[in-house]
Amino acid sequence: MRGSSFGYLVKQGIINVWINRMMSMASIGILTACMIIVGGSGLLAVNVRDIFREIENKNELVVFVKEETDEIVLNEMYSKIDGMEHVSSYHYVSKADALEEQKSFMGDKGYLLEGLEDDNPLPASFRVKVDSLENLESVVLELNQMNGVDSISAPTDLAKTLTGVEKAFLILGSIIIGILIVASAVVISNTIRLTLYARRREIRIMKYVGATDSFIRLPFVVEGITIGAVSAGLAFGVLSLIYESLGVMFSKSGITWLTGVSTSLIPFANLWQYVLLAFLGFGVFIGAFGSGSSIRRYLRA
Amino acid sequence: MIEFRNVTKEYPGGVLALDEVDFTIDKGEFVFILGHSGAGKSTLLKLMLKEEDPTDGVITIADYNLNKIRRRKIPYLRRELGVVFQDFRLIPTMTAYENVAFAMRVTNVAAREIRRRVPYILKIVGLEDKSMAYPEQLSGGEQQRVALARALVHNPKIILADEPTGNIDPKLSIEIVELLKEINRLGTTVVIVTHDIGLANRFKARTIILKDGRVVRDTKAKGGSAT
Repeated sequence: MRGSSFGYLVKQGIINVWINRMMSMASIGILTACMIIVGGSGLLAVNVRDIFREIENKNELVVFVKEETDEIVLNEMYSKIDGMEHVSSYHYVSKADALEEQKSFMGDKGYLLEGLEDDNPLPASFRVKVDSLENLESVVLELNQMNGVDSISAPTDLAKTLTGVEKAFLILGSIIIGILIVASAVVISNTIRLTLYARRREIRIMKYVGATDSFIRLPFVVEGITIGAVSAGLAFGVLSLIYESLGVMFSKSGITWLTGVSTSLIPFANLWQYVLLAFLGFGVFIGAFGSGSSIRRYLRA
Repeated sequence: MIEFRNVTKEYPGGVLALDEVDFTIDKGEFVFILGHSGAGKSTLLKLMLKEEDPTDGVITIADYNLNKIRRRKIPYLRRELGVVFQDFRLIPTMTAYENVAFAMRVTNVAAREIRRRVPYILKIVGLEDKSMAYPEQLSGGEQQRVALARALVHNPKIILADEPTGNIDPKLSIEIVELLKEINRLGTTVVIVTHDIGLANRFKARTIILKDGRVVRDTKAKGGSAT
């Protein structure tokens, strides 16, 4: 294709957006809304995952050792824990260590525990870290079968809730995003169909004078892509404003946990490239796809 | 140039639009295809433009075998065929000049070539003064000339005119056919599809008469019922 022809066809595509401006505006509005919803859920998901990871890192289970466990059993426990698949790290806390720890927890009231050294009521324990919350339950089950275990303290309920929430989030998010993608494609495709209808006379003449399919198609693909790209730009602007101002609102809210959330929010400066790229990619793809699917029927006729 | 070999076209529902139509039009000929409405003229045109496929038979136009032509080659076939429609089919938002230039723009012609050729073609059809007028500012005959200019702009081997005189008054009809005759003299094959028997008689050219989907008379056919 000649450069001047290409330029001409691209110009026609942009004129199409204008000729059909009511419908173009409507579809830009709908597409922008879709992208804000999808992008917003994406940002929420990224942040939730970030928080989850922090919790996972802090996550530790404590295996209390029975009183009067001898060296042999203790060594056995060592090697068993050491060989377990999902244990990322562990360390042993002896009865004496536990007492020291307790003392330092209590701070200036630590003296209350003085004199307990010979009759130490605190049990020895293993502090075990698990690689992922998902594997917490299976690790607990495995540890329970060991000799010398008195009890295990683990946040299994929290783990279950968190992994459940994360999964639900993922599934629900995918469904919503899927629906919005289909809706966006349908909206664009309908908009293009209206332009095709408005330009049906020209298309018919183009065919009679021997324009190739790609020549007939290009302006409409440009129209779709333009609508997609404009929507992407708008959605990006709106979403970045919302994200930034939510952070400010949270930090100034005076509510303790909201302030906490605001400090753990991933700064937009670290995210904007991905958001913009995703929006543009989404907009251009949906625009090209939506217009292509409308034109195909026209070209067959 | 145009060859129909035993071409039959049956539409779904059993309507037989063309029945064993067989004729050849050579390069440089000037031919009327005459018939009442429903005789199969429109079907004939649609087959020539490859808008429809024949049920049976072989069609060859300007060295393209229409039974075998690939889909993406159809635009190139259509550039060999300049079509003039009864209802002109001009774009109302474009001037006469733009209507003609449009046909070149959408077929990948260089801008410089368009600027050179459009005024030349408009001059041939006698519209050099009206190039900036919109279709609604032009008379029926002038609109027909714009349509003809658009058909000529690719320098086609064949001009197909579908009822070129259907929407204009009789005096102008003759002018249009005279113009087509002139174009024919310059070497282009011209086929005029019409129901206007008076027009066909007046110009004493080869006439193929269609009736109920059959060629009932061809004034040139060898051994046929030539008169």
